[in-house]
Amino acid sequence: MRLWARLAWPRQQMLVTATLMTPALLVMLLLFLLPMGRLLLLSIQGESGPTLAHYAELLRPVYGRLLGFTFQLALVVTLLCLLLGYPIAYLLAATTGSARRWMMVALLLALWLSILARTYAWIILLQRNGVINGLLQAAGIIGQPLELVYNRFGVYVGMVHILLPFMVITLVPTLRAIDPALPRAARSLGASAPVTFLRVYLPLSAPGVLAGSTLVFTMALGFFVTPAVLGGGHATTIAMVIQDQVQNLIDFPLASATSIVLLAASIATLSVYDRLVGIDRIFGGTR
Amino acid sequence: MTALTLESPTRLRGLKVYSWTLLTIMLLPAAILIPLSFSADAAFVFPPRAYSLRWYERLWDQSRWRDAALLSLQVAALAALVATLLGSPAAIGLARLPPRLARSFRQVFIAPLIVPLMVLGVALYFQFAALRLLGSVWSLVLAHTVLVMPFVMITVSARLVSLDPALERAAHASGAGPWKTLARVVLPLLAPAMAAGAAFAFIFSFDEVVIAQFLAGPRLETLPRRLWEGIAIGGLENTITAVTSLQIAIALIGILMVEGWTRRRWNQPAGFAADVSTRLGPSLGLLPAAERGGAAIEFEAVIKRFGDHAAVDCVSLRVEPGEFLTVLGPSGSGKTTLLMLLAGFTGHDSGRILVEGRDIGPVAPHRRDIGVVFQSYALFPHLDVRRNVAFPLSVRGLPRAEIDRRVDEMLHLVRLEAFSTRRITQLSGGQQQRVALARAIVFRPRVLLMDEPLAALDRNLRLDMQIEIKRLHRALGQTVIYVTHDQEEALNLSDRIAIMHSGQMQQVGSPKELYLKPANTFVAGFFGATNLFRGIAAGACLVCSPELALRLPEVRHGRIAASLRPESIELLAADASRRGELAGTVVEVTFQGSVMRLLVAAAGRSLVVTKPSTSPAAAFRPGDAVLLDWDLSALHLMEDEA
Repeated sequence: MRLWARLAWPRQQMLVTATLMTPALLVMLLLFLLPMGRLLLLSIQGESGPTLAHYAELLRPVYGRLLGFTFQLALVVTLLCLLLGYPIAYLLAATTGSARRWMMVALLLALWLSILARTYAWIILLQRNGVINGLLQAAGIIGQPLELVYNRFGVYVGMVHILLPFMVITLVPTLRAIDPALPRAARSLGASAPVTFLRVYLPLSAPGVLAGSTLVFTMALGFFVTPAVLGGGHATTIAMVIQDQVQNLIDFPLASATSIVLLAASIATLSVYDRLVGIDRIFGGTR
Repeated sequence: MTALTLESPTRLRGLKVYSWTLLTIMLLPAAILIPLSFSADAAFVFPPRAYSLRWYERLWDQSRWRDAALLSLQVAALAALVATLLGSPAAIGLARLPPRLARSFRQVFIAPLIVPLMVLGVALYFQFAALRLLGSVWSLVLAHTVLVMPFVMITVSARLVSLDPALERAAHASGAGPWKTLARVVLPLLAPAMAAGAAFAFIFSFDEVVIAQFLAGPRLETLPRRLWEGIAIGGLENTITAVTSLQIAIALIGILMVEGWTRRRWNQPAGFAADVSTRLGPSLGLLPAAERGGAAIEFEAVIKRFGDHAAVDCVSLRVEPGEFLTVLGPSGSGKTTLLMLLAGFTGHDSGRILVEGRDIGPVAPHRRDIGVVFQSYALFPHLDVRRNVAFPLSVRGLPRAEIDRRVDEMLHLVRLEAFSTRRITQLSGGQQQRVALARAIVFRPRVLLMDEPLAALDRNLRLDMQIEIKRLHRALGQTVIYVTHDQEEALNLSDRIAIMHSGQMQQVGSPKELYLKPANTFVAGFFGATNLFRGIAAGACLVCSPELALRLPEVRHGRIAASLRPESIELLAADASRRGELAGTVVEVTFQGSVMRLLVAAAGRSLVVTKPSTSPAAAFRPGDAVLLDWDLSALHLMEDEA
């Protein structure tokens, strides 16, 4: 106690900060940075010294197709989430009181529902003799049951369903932060409602749109459970390839190389975002 | 409230219908699964033909499901706990780092959220395999800890950003050291965010299958793994509906608990003891101020730089014991920085700050025995009025009875006895202000600092509070340094006024001195309205422009400025028989209550003149030709530094 009290105030503050951060930093170092480094090493490990052979193997057309599909899937899902989610976020930003609270509870519930449970529910809903086909047939709209699941359609439904809440929740704070006086000013200056939206509101919401899209895109890139279950083998993503390489092919270096490629894609997306908006936004901005 | 005013009601109604439809679809899986889990049938018929609990019974009977569920609960609870214990302090630390360092650390901490689960799973699989830790519960717990820590950190950081930084300073000024401030102010305020972060972490870990698949080995089957096998390999089975329904229930309970807790948090009734810390022993400053008097304060050539900019530029100033000194200046003049230096929240770059002749540079803020009233009040939102006022005494470890006695006395003094159990948010601005004042003086500091304490109040309340502050100062006798940009406030309160501008002390003196004998053109122009004439003096004449030359009361030479207060100018109707110093035309007349303010154009510039509303000069109208006259001794001459 005496020793501590003798320390200068800034020194005390620094020590407090260091004490607070050290345990978490150690855990991150040992259980995150170190394993990632090991993965990188493993991916260039050959029988005789470092090699890029595993990466060369990824140049085969089959991997190109798989990568292409994974990116396309992530991109389409992101766009769908943005289009479907923006109006909800707009409404959430524009309302207050209990209506807003209930919408937030519904959204949070949708966000935190078990991914496995939801995927399972979509099978029940979409399968040949499932709830939706049943309803459509009973209503006489279709004669034969539609193929709604175990194909790419099912994967899109499942992934948009899981990722939409993430998009909305990221959008809301940006939309709420828009000064309501700005659109009003635009209206008073002669802009119609659609013009006001396009030229004032939408540009002001751009940081939120970028944040939400980046988040959803990086998450979609690494998706595994939903495409594996709802795709029925017709929607193989890179994450599924990696699992196959580890558990069935037992080719660890190749799995490492594939992982590094997927990781690089995620980091690239994120650094573009960081350039445009700044990653600090994810932490609620800086003081 | 916000964009509503813009939108026609019909359009917003359309938006509402759309949003609720989509949200309903979002919740559709839950709506389907829960009824199905109670179906008596093995087939998936919706709605079920008959209901039973057989799938739940089967779940409990089959040890595989039960064990999996218990294991998952264990893993998720441990991971959430460890992540909260590690992540919350780290988030607090992150907020204190310099921005650039904080940025790089943030990128590290956020990374597990960005790295695809499969990649993290593979990497950890190799890592734990190398350490021969595969298949242990702890390997999974640790992996999940890394995975869910960002949730905790993001939630806690978001709350931290929304907290007033002055709260921590207020705790220091009240006498709490760094650890006590963390324990009694920061952590209680963060508790709801930590709970929310922990809940999110729990839910996420409870549902995680990809990493669990790699790390747990064959013996440790978590619930998501069991489910995954059921769905991906075993096909559809009704037991799964029961499991997933239970998961939905857990998520729902978690969300509602967090919701409820965050709302109840600030409603706790008073009654938990003013506790801890008898370690510190009797601290300084617990004698009545009347016996101790105020302390003398001295700034000696104090400099504080922020980058290249000197916020406080070589300020020297002596404040007498028990004096009420106001620091007056435009915003950005460095007056708040001066206070923060004295309170110890920022360190100065050179010079000395002495209290009672002792250099307090190395003294930590909580040991300086200086009370501070913050502009934002910085009242602790998690404590009621009584416990806010008791805080400085409680962190000094005073006996309970003594604390009660002195808090009662103080609440009486600021007339808030009736509000002692109120929450801070239930108080009006003026009441909050009085709580802040009571908290700053309850430990009888010999120095009280006030940083624009009345800026947020409306005018009438401000005048009332000024009288109150004056009364308290007379009763308690501390040395008070009061920062404001409001001249009227400075005039009403102060023994002396110190005028600051761009980091430098311009002049210190009584209000009368400052008004009648300003040291330079800034003080002349800032403190009260004036007409400033700048020019070259040659003998008893000041040449300002080709059209304007003034007679001077004394012989001067070189570049000088003359100040002429608006009330010392006589206004006469233009008349060939009379002579004035200048001839001009009235441009504007405004009624200001007790005086009329006239703007007169003369010799290519405009002059301000004030006359009592009752005087004949008040009858002039715009366009009238007038003569301006004044006593030569009314001209105050200064060096012109510009």
